[in-house]
This record gives sequence, structure tokens and C-alpha cells, in this order.
Amino acid sequence: MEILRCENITKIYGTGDTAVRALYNVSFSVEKGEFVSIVGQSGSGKSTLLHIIGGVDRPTEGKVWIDGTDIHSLNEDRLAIFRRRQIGLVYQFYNLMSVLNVDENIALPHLLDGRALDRERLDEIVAHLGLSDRRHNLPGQLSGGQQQRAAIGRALYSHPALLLADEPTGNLDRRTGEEIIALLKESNQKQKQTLILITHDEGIAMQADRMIRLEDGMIVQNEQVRTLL
Amino acid sequence: MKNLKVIFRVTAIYMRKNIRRTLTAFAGILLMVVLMTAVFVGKDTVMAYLSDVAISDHGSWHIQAYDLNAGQFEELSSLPYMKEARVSRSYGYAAFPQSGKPDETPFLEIKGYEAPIFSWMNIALVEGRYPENENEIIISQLAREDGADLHIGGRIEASFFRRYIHAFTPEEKAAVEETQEESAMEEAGNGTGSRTAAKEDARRVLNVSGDAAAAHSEPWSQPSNAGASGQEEAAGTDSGFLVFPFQDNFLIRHGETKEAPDHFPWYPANPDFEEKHEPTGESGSYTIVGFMESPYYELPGQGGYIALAGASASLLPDERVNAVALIDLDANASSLYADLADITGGYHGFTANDMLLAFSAKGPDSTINSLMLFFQAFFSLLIAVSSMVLIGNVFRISRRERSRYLGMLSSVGATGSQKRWSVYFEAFVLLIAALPAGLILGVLLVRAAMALLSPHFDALLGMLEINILTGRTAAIPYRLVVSPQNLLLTALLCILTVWLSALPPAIKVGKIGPVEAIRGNDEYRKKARTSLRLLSGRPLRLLALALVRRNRHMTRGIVQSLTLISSLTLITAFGAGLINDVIEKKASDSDITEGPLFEGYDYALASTGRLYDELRSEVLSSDEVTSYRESIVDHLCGHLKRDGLSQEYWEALREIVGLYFPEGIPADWEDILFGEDADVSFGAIILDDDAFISFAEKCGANPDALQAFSQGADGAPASDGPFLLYDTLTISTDNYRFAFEDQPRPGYHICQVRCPLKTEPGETLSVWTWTNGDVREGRASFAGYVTKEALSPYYRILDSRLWMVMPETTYKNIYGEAGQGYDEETFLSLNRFLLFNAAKDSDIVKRFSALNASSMDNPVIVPGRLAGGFSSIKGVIASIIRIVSAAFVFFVAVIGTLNLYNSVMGRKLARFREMAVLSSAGMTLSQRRKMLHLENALLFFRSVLYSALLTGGSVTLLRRMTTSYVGRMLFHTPYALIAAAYLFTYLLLEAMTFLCYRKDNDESILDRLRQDAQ
Repeated sequence: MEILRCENITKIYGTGDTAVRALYNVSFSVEKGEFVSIVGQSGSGKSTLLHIIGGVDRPTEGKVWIDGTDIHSLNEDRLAIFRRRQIGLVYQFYNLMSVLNVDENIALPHLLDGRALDRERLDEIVAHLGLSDRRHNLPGQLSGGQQQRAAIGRALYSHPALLLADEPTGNLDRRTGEEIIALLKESNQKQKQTLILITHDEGIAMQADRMIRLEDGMIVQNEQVRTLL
Repeated sequence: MKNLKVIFRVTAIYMRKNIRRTLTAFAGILLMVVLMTAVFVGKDTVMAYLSDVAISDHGSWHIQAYDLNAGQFEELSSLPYMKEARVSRSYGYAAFPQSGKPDETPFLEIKGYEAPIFSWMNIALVEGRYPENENEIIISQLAREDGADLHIGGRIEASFFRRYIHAFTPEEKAAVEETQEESAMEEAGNGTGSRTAAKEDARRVLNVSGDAAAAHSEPWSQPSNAGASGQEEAAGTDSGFLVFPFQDNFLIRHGETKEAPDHFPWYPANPDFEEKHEPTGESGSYTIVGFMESPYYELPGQGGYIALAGASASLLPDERVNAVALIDLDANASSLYADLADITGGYHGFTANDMLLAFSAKGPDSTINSLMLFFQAFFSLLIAVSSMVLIGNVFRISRRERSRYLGMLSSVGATGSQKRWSVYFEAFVLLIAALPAGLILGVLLVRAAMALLSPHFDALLGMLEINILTGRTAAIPYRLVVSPQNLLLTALLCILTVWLSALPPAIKVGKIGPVEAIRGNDEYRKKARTSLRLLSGRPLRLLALALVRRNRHMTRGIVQSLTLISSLTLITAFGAGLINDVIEKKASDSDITEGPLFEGYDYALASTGRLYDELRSEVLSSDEVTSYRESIVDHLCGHLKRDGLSQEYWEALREIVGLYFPEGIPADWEDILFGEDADVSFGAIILDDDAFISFAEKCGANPDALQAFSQGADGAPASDGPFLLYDTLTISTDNYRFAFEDQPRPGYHICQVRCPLKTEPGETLSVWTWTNGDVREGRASFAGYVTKEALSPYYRILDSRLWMVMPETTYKNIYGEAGQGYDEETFLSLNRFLLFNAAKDSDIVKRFSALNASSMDNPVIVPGRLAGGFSSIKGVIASIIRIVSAAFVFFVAVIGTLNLYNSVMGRKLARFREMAVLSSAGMTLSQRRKMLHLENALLFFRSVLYSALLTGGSVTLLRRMTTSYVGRMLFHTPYALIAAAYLFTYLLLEAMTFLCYRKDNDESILDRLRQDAQ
């Protein structure tokens, strides 16, 4: 079942002589429960593509369909509601709320949606992420790996249709990075969580079901990993 | 200072990079210097202006001493602080056959002045020149206006005499009355007896004397019987006395003969006293060389026109003269009054230009100047504290970014001292730029404020013209007083403030290690436990609470700004109110002034007696009159018996009188003031019956009292008419300065009494007054108290005496003249005027104006703004201080607003990325708005808590200081002002939030995520 379809996404920053084309005519789709990695050189358009898919940036041209919804046809408020219900975003620099503790950061999108706290779900995620003894800590009191786990918890808590991770290990040491990737893979495999992951690391990328390679804003490779192996 | 070059260079780059924050810090420092300069220069300028106002009223002399021999004069001249003393001679009175009003002003009162005194006394020529020798004279223009046929070059021949007043014994009085009855029979049918004329004179004096009301304070109104011409006598025995309440309470016992005080009116024959003349044996022959505007001390109604001759400086061995002197304002003159008392033989032997000395900080009564100095220090402290918060905030907000580059420098070896210098460098670079600009701008601000306010001041002063019959120009130019000492002090204070502002952030920056600085997580130390169960479904509250509780470094600036704005506004308003109260109590001598309901009328009837009644009927029935409003005030309506007053009142009175008699109150004053027959006079505001009922109901008056009155109004006996009483009474040492003029004058002290009656609302109490020469006793029903706020639309009262509000029926019941109409023969101290609006070319205005033309000295109609109980010079001074205080409140609010903007902007910048994260996590715009509202509300409530503590403490301190200076005062808590200040603060926070966040939506989440928050 197709959960994501990108149609002819083009993104141009600036105008006139200073215009920069970040993406050009990018089209692909992702099946529900699929793990897709996106790789490419710096400046190839990976993060731009992820942000457009995540609804935090808008394409200059093209459409993004998530679970049948053209997300960029939504106004800002509807798009925000869509994001908190359907998309989980994990950033390289965690982007946790510095004034909220681990529990609160994880539950934030759920609470923003006006839904009652699911304590069991929260306990389960916190335990799963290995943050049980850190749940009352503020982000500033956590290590980088712990902050990234909390960010993953926040992304997963609401059972999003799509989990988007933008170089989640880029700011971590190798061992912590591997732990984070393991967590993401586990959510993908056990809970059938659709996962799109951006990375520089070919090794991590090869752990995905499918790998999309971008160069100069265009898809140059879109293949099942097993065919590449 | 070694090895700081790179730190300074990096800091300078950083300042340029963050130009907005640098400019905010600069603006804060600049504003501080401006306000600090304005406070110092403004205080001196205002005091100088007030001095000029005082000079314009009474002149620039400082003291006058009387009846000195050559030795005493020399002693006075050689006092160490005495700058210049000149001779003034009071030759006495002389018959003035040329007088145009021989029945009212039959004399010349001739004095001799040394040349400088003419200018010290504000003697302004209308025509001619000043006298150059003892044989030349100038005469008040008033004499010519009253019809005297005088011209320059004319001659005045004077045989001088002194005037004495002899109060009749009962036997003498009986004999005089018998004689007068015989005369009256001879004048049968004439209808204008001398007694009536005497009353009319007294009434006229009552109406024009600015001190009229104050002079009515007890004990002069104590006698339980009263004469018929403005003077009152004690209970009909030999021990009784006459009091002339409007002649500085001149008191004379029956059978006694005393020299008449200065400016005493001329009263024709009457049954209470007689005037006697005693020749001095001197005479003079003068050539008229000019005419002068009426001097300030020439009062309408006094028995003689003022004439001034020249005077030589040399004194004859046995001659007695007066001295007019200036003191050296830079010298210590704290013993002035005591020295003068020593020289002249008592405290009645000299007078001082009190207001001028008060504004010049000389003389023993330095209340006003001391308070001004205190508030100058207090406001300087407020400015310094608010500036410290503003500047400190800027540095605190920038600390995180600063810590990044300093952390980097630290990692390569920068010491704590070097890091601290980055903050000091920035602070002092900004200060060096702001200091000269701020000093100049501060002076310009004072100049601009004075220029802006001076037309208003002139308008206020212009109102005085009604009190100055000559109508001389009231506008007084201001002059900037900029002293180098003040500027230096301002600069030092600013340097100290900036250093103290920069110190805490510098210390913190110095302590930040490289790792903490680079990680930027040094702010968080504690775990944050929250009950998510409680906050389920309330994420915005969670976020708001989390920000306010856990990120205090980010919100501290906002809370401080809010606290400062509300606190400074309130403290300044309280402080200004206190100054105003003290000034008003101390300086104002107008006991009642009309409120805003009496403003905006074109014309006022200014006539009296039957003519007033006739013209009033015309106005009320005229179709040309579009609106009208009448004021009826009786300054001395009657007296309350002793038993009606509360114990608190008597204690307060004893406290004040006791200050004049530290050794104990003498038995005779004890008897007069506190004896069985002691009572208290009251003034009355009279409303028509319906208006009174309506007003009393609004004031929450006792319904039984009103109901009984309403029934009476319908035809049943009204029994005891109701009245409301003004709820405060202020007894001050100033009330008694004439009564106890022989005593050393104590420092200014007041006691305020709230609800001064022992009687409860609904009960009746005894009152008495005199009418047609008889004491009339009666009872009135106390309906309740009326507050300042309730009365303020109608009248503003200086509560140095009891004031009642009563319906016409009560008033006439008290006088026993119900239904007879107001009759100035009966109601001697009555003051009525009718304001109305009508077209300038209407018949009624033309007709009344024609009446004016035929009666120049007693106008029938005057412009509406000139009606009523006009501000005296002191009242104007109080108004000026109110305006200046309001201006200060405004400027203090500006610094707070700038601080708040800076803090809110700091919060926005510090949370730029987090807000983007929230958006990316699905927060909608409306949710963000709600979250900000919630945060604002939480921050506001926290600031209210701090502000309440700060304001409460400061106001308590201010009140204690004021109380220690001036005595027991009643302090009102202005709840409406407090509510308004806090509402303003909250709205300001919301407005600043809107201003700072309004362009946020223009940027995409991604842009915001990518943008460096700093």
C-alpha cells in the first residue's frame, strides 16, 4: 500500500540571478512499512526533500501525497495538524524543547493534538528507548545520544504514518549512532513504521529496504538495496 | 588592561554584528543619562521657576523686620548670612481728601522705601518715575481708578496718625446703640444705616480675601456669640473679645484699645467698636512723581491707599524703622527665624517671604525643599535601578552568544578577567557615547518640557488675575538652571549605574568554562518534574508553565520589566501624590475650588445681593441661555458643638497646638480650645433639595435621614434637615500661625482625622450660627460622610476645616430664613455665582455687559473661567507640581517600556529555534498565540507579586518619610490607579509580544530552524 508519493517536486531558492535549484522534478513513492534511505553529497537536496515531505517546507512545483492527502494543498493550520498526527521528524540536532523534560518532549505532539496522555504508551517508549532513569531530565542534562532517543520517542509516540529522520546520527559517535539506527530499524520492523532516513553513511543506507540517491537535486538512483548487494 | 586588545576587538565586532541589541543597550544608557540629567536640572529649574512665581506674587525680598532702632538694624545687617538690608519707613496714615471713595478708603497709607526696595517689592510703575528723595511720592493707581483726581506734579500734604481700634465694653455698647437708634430714627425711611454699610464692608472683605477660609479655623470662630459685621464676640461678658477673622484674626478684648493691623478696613460707626486716631507728630509734603500698580499688599477694602516715598539710608539716633532684607542663599541661614526673634524681641516682629524661602531652601520651614531633595534622590534611585535592569537585561540576553566566542577564547587561554572585560568594554563604550549626548538631551528635555508646560502654567497663573485687581501680566518666563556640579554628579551616578549593571553579567561570563560555553547548557541544573496526568490535554499550559518555571533566565527580564513598569508607575504616582498632598496642604490657601462640572461655561454672574437674584431669574428664564450651573458656598456657615466631635479630633488638635506650646498649653487657650464651650466652625456647600437627595443617595447616605427630609419637602415638617460631612479634616500648624504668632514657630506638622464626628449617620447634632445679630441654635441630621472622589466632580476641598454638603432647606433652617431667599445681610460669608452659556451677541449678554460698563469696579458678568474660588498663587504652584510629576511618571514609563520591548524581543530571539520546533511538531498558529497569552499571563502574575512587594515596601517607606516630615496624614489607597497601572502593564506586554512576533509567520519553519537564534 502506497503511503507516500512525490510527484515532480522542484524546489528553487531565491529569484533571478541568485536562484538556486535545490530539487528538480523529483518523483518517487514509498510503500507502507517500507524503510527508505536517501543518500547524496552535501548540497544534493536530501534535507530539502525530507523537509518538503515532512511539510515544514513547501515545493516550488510538484505535489506530495501522504496517505492520500496532498499535504501542500493544506493551509498552515491544517498542515500543522497533519504533521503532528501523521509525521514524525527526527533532526540531526535533536531540536528538543529545552524547557520540557523527556516525558513532556515525547508526549508533546500528542498533547498538542488535544488528546489525553497514553501513559502506557509513554512508559513503553521511554523504557524501549532506555530513558527510564532520565525521564524527568531536561534536554540540557542529557547526552547527545539520549537527546536523540528522546527525539525519536517524540516522533514515534503518535504512531505517525511516516517517520522522517534527517541524518540522526550525524552528531553522534559511531556506537551511539548504531544504537539509534537500531532503534529506528526496530520500530520499522516490529511496528511496521514507514521510515525515510537521510544519511551520508553508505553503511547505514544499505540497511534500508530501498536507497534513493540524489545528485544536484535529481534522483540518480532508486533501487531496492538487496538488488544492490 | 594588558592583553585585552583582542577581547576588545572581538567585542567590537560582536557589537556591530548585533547592532539592534547594541542600539537597545545604547538607548537604555542614553535614556538613563537623559532622565538623570532631567531630574537634577529639572528639579533646580522647577524650584527656580516656583521661586520666580513666588517672587512675582510677593517680590524678591526675604525678610521684613519692624520697628527697629539703629542698633537693631545694624545687628540685623551684620548677621553672617544677611546679604543686604535696606531701610523702610512706615510713616503712618494721613487723611486723603482727594479719595474717590471717602466712605471706604479715606486715608493714604504712606511708607518710605530705599531705592532697591521698590524692585524687591515688585513695585511697578504705571506712569512717571520712582521717588528719588524723601519728598517725592508715588501713589497706587487704585486711588485714581476709584476716582481720585491726581496727577504727576501734584502735591500731597500729610499729617500722620496711627489708627487704633477700641472694642466697646457692654456699657459703652449700650450707649452707642442708644445713640445710633436715635440717629436711625432721624434717618427714617432712608433704609441704609451705617450698620448695614459696615456689614457690606465686612462681606466685601470676606469675599476677596484669599485667606478667608483658612482664617476661620478655630479658635477664632469659638465665641458662642457674634457681632454683626464680620467680627465675633465671646459670650457677652467683659471677658469676651472681638475677632476679625479676615484681618489675620485680629483679636481685641472688650474695653481694650489696640493699634489696627496693617491694611485694616475703615468701618464707620457701629455698636461693637470704634476707630481712634493718634497723631504721630510728624508730617510731610510730597510731590507726586508717578503712579504704581497696586502693590501685592494693598488689599481691596483696606482703609488707606498705598503711597510710597523715597527714604534715606541714614537713621536718626532715636528713630525706629523697618528693614527689608535679602539673605545670602548660599549661606547657612538655619538660625534665621531665631536670630530675627532675638533682634526684634519676638516672633511677631518680623515677616518672611515664606514661599520664596521655602523654594530657596532657607528658613526653618524647609518642608518643601526637603521633600523635593528626598524625592530627587528617590527618583534618581528609581531611574538607576530601572536602567540597571534594562542594561543588565541586554547583557544577560546576549550572554549565551557572548559565551560562545568567549568560550572559544577561553579554550585558547583567555582568563576570567579578560572575559569580564568584554562586558565592561561594551558597557563603557556605550556610556562614553551616551554621556555627552544624554547630558545635552537631558537639558534640552527639561527645556522642551518647560516650553511645553509653560503655556499651561501661564494659563494657571493667568487665573490669578482675578485676585490681582490691577490685572498685571501673570506669565512668568522659566529659566534653565544648569549647574556644573549637577552635571558632574549626574555623570558620576551614570558611570556607577552602568558599572553596577555590567557587573553581574561580567562576573557570570568570567566564570563560564569553555565546555559549558560551547555546549550552552550551563543554565540547567535541576530535574523538572511535572504531573503530565494533570496537564493532559493542556499542552499549552504545560509549555507556558515550563517556560516560566524552568527557564527563568529567559523570562527574568520580562518579569523584571513588568515589575519595574508597574512598580515605578505606582511608586512615582504615589510619590507625586504625596508631594502634591503635602504641597496642597501646605501651600494652598484656597479652601474650595470648583470641579470639572463648572468648566466650559462662557459667562458667570459676578454680582451680589438682590441684583444677583434679579439677574439670576433672568438667566434661568432666558431662551438665549443654553445651559447653566450655580455654585452656592458658605465659607462660614455655622458651628458644631463640642460633643459632636470625635475623640480623635480633639487629640489631633491637642497635638498640633501642643507643638506651639512645648511647655504646656496655657490655661486661657486651654479653655478657649478645649473647654466646655469649645466648638468648631464649618463651611457648607449648598445644593438644591432634589440635587442633594440624588447626590446623597449616590454617596450611600443614611436612608432614614433622607426619607425624613423627603417627607418634609412634601409639606410635612422637615424637622432637622440632613447634611453630609466631608470625611476628612486636616489640622496643621499653619492653621495656627497667626493665633500663636508670639510663639516660636514649630516645623510644619499636620494631623489628618478621618470621619471626625462622634455622631453616627442618622443621628442629629447641635449646630449654631448667628443671624441678624442673634445666636441661632438648631439641630441638623447627619446623613453620612462624603468622600473626596464623590465630591470631586463638583468641588475640590482643602480639608483644613469641616465642610458640609446640605440642601437649601437645611441651610435655611439653620439660619431660620427658610423661604426668604439668600440675603447677604444674613449670610455674610455666602459666595454665589451662576455660570451660563449664551451667544456672545445675545441680548442677555449684551445687556449684562452694558451693566458692566456702568460698574467698572464691581462687574456684573465675567468670563466663565474667572468665576468661583480661583486658585491662589499657592494653588497654582500645587498645580504646577502636579503637572511636573505627571511628566516624570510618563518618562519613567518610557524607560520601562523600552526595557520590556527589549526583554520580549530577547525571549523571542532566544526561542526562535524552539518555536520552529513546536511548529514542526504540529503546533498551529492559534495554539502558539494561546501559548504566548498564557505565558504572558503567568509572567504578569509573577510580576504582580514582585511589584506588590516592591511597591508596598516603597510606598510604606515614602509614607513613613512623609509622616516623619509633616506629621500624621491619612493616606488613601487608590485602587483604581493600581488596577489601571496593572492593566496597562499587561496590555503593554501583549502589545510588545504582538510587535515582536508579528512578522514571524513570514518565514518558513525550515528557515526558522536553520536560522541562528542569536
